[in-house]
Amino acid sequence: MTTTLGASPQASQSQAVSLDGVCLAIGEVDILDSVTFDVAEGETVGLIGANGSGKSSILNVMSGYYSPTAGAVRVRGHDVTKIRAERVPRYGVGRSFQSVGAIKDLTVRELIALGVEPAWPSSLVASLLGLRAGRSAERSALDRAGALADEYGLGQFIGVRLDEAPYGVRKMADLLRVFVGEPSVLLLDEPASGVAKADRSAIVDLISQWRERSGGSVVLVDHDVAFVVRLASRLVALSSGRVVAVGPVDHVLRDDAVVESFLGSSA
Amino acid sequence: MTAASLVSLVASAMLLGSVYSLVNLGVVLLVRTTGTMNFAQGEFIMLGAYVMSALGPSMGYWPGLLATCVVMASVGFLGYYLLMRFLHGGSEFDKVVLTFMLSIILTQAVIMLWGTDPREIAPATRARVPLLDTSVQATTFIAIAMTVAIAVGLVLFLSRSITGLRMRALSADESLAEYYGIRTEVLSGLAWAMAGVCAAVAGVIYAQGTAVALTLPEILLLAFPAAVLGGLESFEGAVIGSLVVAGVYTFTNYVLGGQWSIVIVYSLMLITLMVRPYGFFGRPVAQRL
Repeated sequence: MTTTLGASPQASQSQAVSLDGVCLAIGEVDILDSVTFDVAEGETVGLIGANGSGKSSILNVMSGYYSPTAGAVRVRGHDVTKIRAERVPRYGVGRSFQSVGAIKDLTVRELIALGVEPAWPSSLVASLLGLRAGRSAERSALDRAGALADEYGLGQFIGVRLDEAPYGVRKMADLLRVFVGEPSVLLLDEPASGVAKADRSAIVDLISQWRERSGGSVVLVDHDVAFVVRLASRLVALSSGRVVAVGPVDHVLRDDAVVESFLGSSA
Repeated sequence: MTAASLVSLVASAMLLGSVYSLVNLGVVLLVRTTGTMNFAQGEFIMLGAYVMSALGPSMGYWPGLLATCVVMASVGFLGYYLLMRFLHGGSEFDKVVLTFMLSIILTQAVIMLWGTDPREIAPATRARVPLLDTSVQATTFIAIAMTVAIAVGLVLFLSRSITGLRMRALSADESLAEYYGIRTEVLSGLAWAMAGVCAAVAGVIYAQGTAVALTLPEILLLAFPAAVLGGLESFEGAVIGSLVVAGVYTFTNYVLGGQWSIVIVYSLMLITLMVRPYGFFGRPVAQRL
């Protein structure tokens, strides 16, 4: 289904991200079907839908992990449809992940420093040979990570190992890892899942602060609609890999198709 | 046992421990960074020794060793880039099978280049250092110093440098590291190059005391119990495990004879696998169900 539904009010503004007729099939299974929507500069768009509706798959396509079977993804006019995942950050796209459990033996500061884009290959050579340039690049990456943690109120945790840090802190550290790369577009996959209520508010504040400072755009996926609407000005509602509604939050949440397919008929 | 024979035994154990340490540092490096158990590390060691036997006589020991390290770093990088890279994100089993294939390629390359006759490497010096009532070859101390330098260098590189930090992220989760914008292929190639350097130094130290021959890869089988003992993911474990295993080999060989030493070391490995499958310095892996 193409989205004539709830056309973007920002259509005339410059687009940070646009998806045009994106289809994705894995094996015989159709995951996404002609997904089309735009995200304007500085805008936050929330993707909502039941489990398996394709929310995370859209982020996976946008971040280069899946190559769509049809359609195109553009970031600020650059076609990134066939770009490999490791190269997509160079287009100003930063992504956080639902799971922050895999990398454990780093400290909070080291995790954040992973987001600093290295100057390849000079930093690699300098780092290997122990040259001053390499050492100063390393110091500067860790310094930037530490400074950012201070700026966003995580300063006291910088030396704590990730597997010993509270879960909310790990989620926030993963967000700072994305922020430190100075992206212009954030793709956030369940940034508050599994996090205590107080920490959810801290995460909302963290993302809001980033938006104010950077003026960047956000595509936000979370199963908790209440969390999404605290940050998003527009929603894209998905059902079985198709967009069923796009538009301002109130408009989408009252849409009959959304109520029926996602919120349930009693909502 | 006299003091002199004790000194000789300890020196032999330390030399063997250094060789095993270098063998296992290369193994652990690849397990930690790319999740690959490289069963071709023995052939890398053999190739390093052959390259040194070819370069050493014309270039001299130290320039020859340096050139051998450069050659082996290139072989390691190319082994990854031309072969292992295509299993990027693949299963550990597939990668292990491919390392067996790599070992066959390397052995055939050695036979094609140098034939099957044994060769030799002249040591850096034939000097001996007097100790108690006896003397120990100076090359033993050189070998220990090189092993310590490489082990400390590797630990500092991985723990302090930003490139090492990225390698640690790569080892924790290859796909996630790629998502983070980390150039996983460059870093994996680098890890293979570094494992090549470990193999070069191990091969040279080991072969200069014996001979450069096609049987050199057996060193991996002799050193492997040490990596299991230490835990396959720990550099400290690799070194301490290697020293323990080298000590057990040397002393049981002296007391009971060569046929028993290997049985005892492998029994030690089996017992370790039963009581601490992740080794004495490794950490248990929790599986989310």
